[in-house]
Amino acid sequence: MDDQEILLRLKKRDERALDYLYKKHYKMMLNMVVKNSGTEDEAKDIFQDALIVFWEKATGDKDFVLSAKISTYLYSICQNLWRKELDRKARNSGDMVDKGEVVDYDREERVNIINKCIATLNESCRQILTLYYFEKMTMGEIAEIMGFANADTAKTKKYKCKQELDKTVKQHYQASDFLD
Amino acid sequence: MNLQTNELIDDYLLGRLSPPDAEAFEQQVKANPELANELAIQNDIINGISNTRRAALKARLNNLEIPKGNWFTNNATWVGTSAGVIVLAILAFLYQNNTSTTVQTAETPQIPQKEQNQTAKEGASKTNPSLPQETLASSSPAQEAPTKKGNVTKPAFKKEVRNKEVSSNEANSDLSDPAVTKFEDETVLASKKGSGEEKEVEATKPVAKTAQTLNAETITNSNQYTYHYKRNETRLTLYGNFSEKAYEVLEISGKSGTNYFMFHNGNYFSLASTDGEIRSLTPLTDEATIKKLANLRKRK
Repeated sequence: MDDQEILLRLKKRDERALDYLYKKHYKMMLNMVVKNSGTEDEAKDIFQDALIVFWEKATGDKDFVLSAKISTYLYSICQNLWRKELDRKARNSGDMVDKGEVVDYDREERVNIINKCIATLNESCRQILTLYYFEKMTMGEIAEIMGFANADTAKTKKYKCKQELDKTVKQHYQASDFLD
Repeated sequence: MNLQTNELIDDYLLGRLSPPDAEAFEQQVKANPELANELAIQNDIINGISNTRRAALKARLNNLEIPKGNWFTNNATWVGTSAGVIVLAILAFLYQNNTSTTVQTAETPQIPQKEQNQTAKEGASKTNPSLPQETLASSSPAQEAPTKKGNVTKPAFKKEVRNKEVSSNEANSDLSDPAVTKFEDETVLASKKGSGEEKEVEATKPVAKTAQTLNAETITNSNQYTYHYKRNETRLTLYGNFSEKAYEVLEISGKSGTNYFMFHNGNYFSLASTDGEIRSLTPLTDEATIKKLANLRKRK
């Protein structure tokens, strides 16, 4: 399978193309991190994150075309992510701890509530919202995948799902506010 | 917020506004604290949805079998040592599982021909856009894929069934949906490690009378469901490859009933009842819940 075919499959959100890239480039990417002071687990983590970044680029940007080999993209993303991770480690070690950092507990609480509310969504709503917000699909594409009559139906469904999620989040967020 | 404002916020956060429109919207946000607050909430919601999907993709990758090989090619000693360890690991694995296993050695993964012929319908799944399509028109995966149930004479991992009281002072995550963890006044009734060969997760000697026995089975070779589960009351079916890394089912009983969670490959999953529907296994992302489950695992 050549790079163009893989990209085509990724654009169609075929997760098996992601599996293929993972298996194909696993050793090379892990080698890069491990040779640069990383553990195997860290390397695995970085490579998985890199693949997801590439997935988001391929699926989210309709105009995205390959100007280099996929392995070059992945290597470059891995390098950048690993550099950031090393920087983060350096900041958090010894005297370099950033004492000025303020933890936003209110936001942390809100994010926790949001995650819990997302987990309570029904499967259909979770799929619709994921397709819209993460996969950046149009209503027409969502209608086709979900088997809706047309884009308008998809739009209505998405609106209702989002409204339900917003409502649950705000109910719990306000309740938590009140208890505080 | 009205529909128009919601759409404007969506478009802004998804980068769909033109630069002048985006700038105009930012001016509105600066002048309107209520709008700014709404924008912050919507931003977190969209991030939450995206992170859930990222976690699912990551769990999928984490669950893939990678051909073991000597990828430290620049170090002859390490290659020799690692090869020895791999052989031992494979032998131990085969012995433990007492079942036939194919050890992959190919460096470049192959996509089955069947999969390559079906690109045209890739995006047309009604259940999940990214799942393989070839089984959609055929029988259910439970019918087409043979399970390992009944083939096993010996559990692959040491069973751990313990009862442990958990302090009622544990912080409570206070959402009422059964899918959301409640830890207050809970008792860990049973925890069992499995390897994909494990059939029965017996909540032996439960503290609460309402405790249930969870019967687990794994379906390893479904083409359509690669990291999914289905739970109906006390029957749990796991789809995917669970033979390489042990999974552990946590049964937690509290005032709200019995909740089940799974620990696999470094992630925690809710095994909320699906009423027979097959759902993807999505790792929990809520740090507080994960922390509590990790504590419960340590203390059991």
